Amino acid sequence: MTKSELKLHNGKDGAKAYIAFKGEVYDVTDSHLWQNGEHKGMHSAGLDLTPMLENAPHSTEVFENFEVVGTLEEEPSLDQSASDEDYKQQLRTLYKKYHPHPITVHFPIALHLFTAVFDLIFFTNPKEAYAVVIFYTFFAATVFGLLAMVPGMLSWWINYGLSKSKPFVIKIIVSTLTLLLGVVGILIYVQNPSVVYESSFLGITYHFIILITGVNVIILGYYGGKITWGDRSDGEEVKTENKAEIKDIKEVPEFTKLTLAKKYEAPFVSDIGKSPVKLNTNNKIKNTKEKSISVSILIGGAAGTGIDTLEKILSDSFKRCGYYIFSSKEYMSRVRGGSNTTLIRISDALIEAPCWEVDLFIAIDALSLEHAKARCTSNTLVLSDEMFSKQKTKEMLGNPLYTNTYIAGLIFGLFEIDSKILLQSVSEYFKEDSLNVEAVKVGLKTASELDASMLPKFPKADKDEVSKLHLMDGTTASGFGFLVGGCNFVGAYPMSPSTGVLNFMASMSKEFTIALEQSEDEIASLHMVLGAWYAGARALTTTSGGGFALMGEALSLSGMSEIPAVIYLAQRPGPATGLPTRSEQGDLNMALYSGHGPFPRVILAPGSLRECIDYAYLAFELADRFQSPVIYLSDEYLADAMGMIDDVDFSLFEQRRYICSTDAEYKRYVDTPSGVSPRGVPAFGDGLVCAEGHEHDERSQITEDYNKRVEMANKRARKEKALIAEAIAPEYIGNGEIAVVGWGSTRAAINEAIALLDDSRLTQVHFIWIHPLNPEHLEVLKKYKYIIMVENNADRAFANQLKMHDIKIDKMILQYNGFAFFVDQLKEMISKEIKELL
Amino acid sequence: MSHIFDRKNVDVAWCPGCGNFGILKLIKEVLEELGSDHRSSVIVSGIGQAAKTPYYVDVNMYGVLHGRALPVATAIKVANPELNVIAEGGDGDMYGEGGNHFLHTIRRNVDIVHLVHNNMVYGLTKGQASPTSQKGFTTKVQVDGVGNEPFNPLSVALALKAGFVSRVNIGNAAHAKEVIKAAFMHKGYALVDIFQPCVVFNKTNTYKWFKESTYMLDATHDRSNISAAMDKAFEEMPMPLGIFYKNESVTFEDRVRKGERTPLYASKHDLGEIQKKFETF
Repeated sequence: MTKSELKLHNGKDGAKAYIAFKGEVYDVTDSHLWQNGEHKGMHSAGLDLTPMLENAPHSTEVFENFEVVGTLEEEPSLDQSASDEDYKQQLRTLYKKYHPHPITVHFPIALHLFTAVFDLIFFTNPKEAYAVVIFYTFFAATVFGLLAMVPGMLSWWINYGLSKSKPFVIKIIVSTLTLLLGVVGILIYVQNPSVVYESSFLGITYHFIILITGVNVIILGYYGGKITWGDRSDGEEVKTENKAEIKDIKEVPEFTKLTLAKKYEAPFVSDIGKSPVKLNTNNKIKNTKEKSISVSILIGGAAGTGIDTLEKILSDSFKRCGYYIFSSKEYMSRVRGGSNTTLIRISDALIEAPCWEVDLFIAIDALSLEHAKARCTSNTLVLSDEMFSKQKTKEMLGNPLYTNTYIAGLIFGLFEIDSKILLQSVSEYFKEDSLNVEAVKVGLKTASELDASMLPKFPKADKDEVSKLHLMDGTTASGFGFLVGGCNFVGAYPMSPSTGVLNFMASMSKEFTIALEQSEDEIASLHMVLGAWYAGARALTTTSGGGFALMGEALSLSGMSEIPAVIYLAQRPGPATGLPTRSEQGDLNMALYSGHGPFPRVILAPGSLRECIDYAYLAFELADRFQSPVIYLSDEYLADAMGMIDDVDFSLFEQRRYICSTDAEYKRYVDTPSGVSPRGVPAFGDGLVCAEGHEHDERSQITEDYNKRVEMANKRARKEKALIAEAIAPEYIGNGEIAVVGWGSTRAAINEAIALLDDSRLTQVHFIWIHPLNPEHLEVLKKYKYIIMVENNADRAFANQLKMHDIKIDKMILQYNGFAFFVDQLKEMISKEIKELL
Repeated sequence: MSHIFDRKNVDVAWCPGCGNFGILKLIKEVLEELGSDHRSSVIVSGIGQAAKTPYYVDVNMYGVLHGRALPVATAIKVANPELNVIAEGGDGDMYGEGGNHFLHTIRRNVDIVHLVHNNMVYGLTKGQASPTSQKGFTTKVQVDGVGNEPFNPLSVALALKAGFVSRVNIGNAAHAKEVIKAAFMHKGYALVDIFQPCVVFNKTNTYKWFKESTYMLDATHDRSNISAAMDKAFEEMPMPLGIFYKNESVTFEDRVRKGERTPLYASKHDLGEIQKKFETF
């Protein structure tokens, strides 16, 4: 409804009475307060009353009683009127600030009344002095009357929208009349002052004017008051409403006190002072030392075509059949298209690493055939894209959608594996669509017609052993570790390849007490983590290189304020955006040196699924005990690769809390031999918990005292000494004189490569505890004749750390092509280095 | 005032006549009058002269980095919803360095009081323009005067539907106190932008200037109406003071903690449940 349409609904002559307020049009026809389209004789229906309501004695609640019949639309108008409206708004602001009409209007009222009363006195006692006083007062009254009318008219325009309602009409008529009468009266007197004593026409007119203007101003005053205050008799109430700013705040007396934090009777026993937790590595699965048989299958296709589903069905089915399996994906940073591959290795013993060359390659499209043909040898059976073309699959299966289940059938058929379990898995997975089972059967049949003689012998199944194992990726294993580490707060920003842990924790937050928020950026993530730890939570952030780069300053704050933090850093190749979906151990230097100023930190890099769980748990333990940041280094390969893990007894993981109840004398940074001060949290006890990013004294006040600075720097440094004493030594596998040293996710690849080389001169040395290193542990390393270092990066970050401890590295094997090490390739690399050494 | 929230033996680092003294006094009075004890309140502050306030108030505190008070305060409130959490800092701290956190903390509606000392200048770094400096303000860096549009915290907060948006002038302490009290009692995020003069580095925006450039919102302002509040937030010379907008809705900590208010320090996971979850893989 536009303003002109609204105007037609003025409530007169049987028309509906509509009024507008703040853009909504209300129907007030039936209200007794709006009879004949008039409200209190002041407001007329058919108008937008928004500006008038500011001056109304009632608030906006009155509109709740009326039905909304439409919205008020702006009329298509020229810019001129819009700027008119702006101008009006400016005037309104000015008017409200200075209220010129109330200021001026009282003078003419008082003066006119004075002349009228004095004129009556003059009749009883016609002195000349009285006549003169009456005239000059009347003159002043008339002049002031004019002065009051100007702002009055202004107010009528800007505040009341030139309302034609009764009080305004009366006021305008009466005030104009008063002004005219004033002029006439003045003229009469000026012509002949003695006329005041005469009973002539002019004399009577003069006195009449004096008296009638006195009555006029009473009328004007009455209606002026009515416009301003309405018909309310309770003037007091109106007055206080005008000062609502302060009054309103005091209106809610039931909420005038803050609620206080409850005093908890120590909800747990503090574990401060206990000896470190022991990791119970109850992993019963043997390492791949003895000869095992394994088969590798590579499936290539575009993103979004269901390879993930196929991988899941195959993994589940192979596991149920009793095979050890390992799978890893290699995918492009895109949601659809491109060329992705999934590698599945099937074995009769535990395998945890990928291989480059494959026995069977299923290339669903031509692009993937081209992409991965380098992984085929003369012994590889390649089933190429022609077999899986849309036309062909439609012919065979009725719908290309069933290609994935068809391929599953094909693989089982080629290796002559009992298809019962596969059919069962498929029918369970696709409950609704039985045609998938048919597709499997077509695949089995097709396979029987193919020549599979070049495929190697399939490993033997071991249902009893394998059924006890769990199939998961490093992401899930890390997630379980953080969960059992007591993680109950997560603040993180999504970034590949770290997002999986964020997803895992979010899914767990449905059933466990975990407060989780996706932050606005990584700067906020780590600061949230610090806030949460400060208040007593066990908090985690998940990120990758680029995000961790933003966390530098918060990491430094964690160091200075001695507030713990756990950071899950899943590496991907950099610099900058690098290769978002690929793998590298490229961020160790940043993890080591990020953050300004020296402060102790811990870096852990697990290499197996079991280590993922144990060290994620340990990350929380160490962070809490040493009040320092702990960086848990994973990478894309470790996070995404699926493998098998033995059962884990979670009841063996002690649930500890290294916080103390505080007393009134509590000081947060009190010096101790280990450098670790008892950590209180706010409201747990009576003491105040003050933490600080400036250099500070024991009670956390800022200090620039140079002695205190040294004392505090030394206190923090002592924590690093305590951490070194607690460092976990690397694992030594084998008794040879040549050490093949790796860290983190290269564990399984090195292990299998050495097993394949079957060379007793080799020993694997696997570091999980990366920083701070214990020199005593490294003494052992110095005894090896040769050291071959294996790192999945270009900057030899860990080798350089070892060099700082005087470890001589004889050979470096570096790979930074975006892939994790493939066992067969790594075997050749090590073999080549040995030849060069000896 | 009984000085119960005075921190003992501290050396106050502010210049004589600084507006921060008035704000410090108000915070201590408000805490006392609202019946807080020492242990139930936490002040988180960033860096700057304003951010030094918590060092002089005897409650829990975490002095963090420039611009970062809000995410820290947010997490503290979630980790222990029983705490009264205050994030405090200056205009450069909260609106400049911490600008992104300002936006997203409002969106979260975490139940904290956000006190921003707005003196339109950088004090600690000795007199550069701040995000709220008025156009034409000259400094050693802005030698030709500030040309950038001043940051309008109130309209930004309103655009994000902040639940409590207010501005006060420390020159009118009685009014400022009532508004800050209301901010404490508001359930949800509450912004109080506090006009406060820097007597050393800002000779333009003085006590007198703030007095002359402001006026009080009165009862005719409907604080439940966000568009009316927005109109008021855009008013310049004079600028309105008071509560522009107030509307309570579900808080961040209630959503994230699913209504649970026990502190996270008292929570432990059920290992049996973790075992059960693990067995599903």
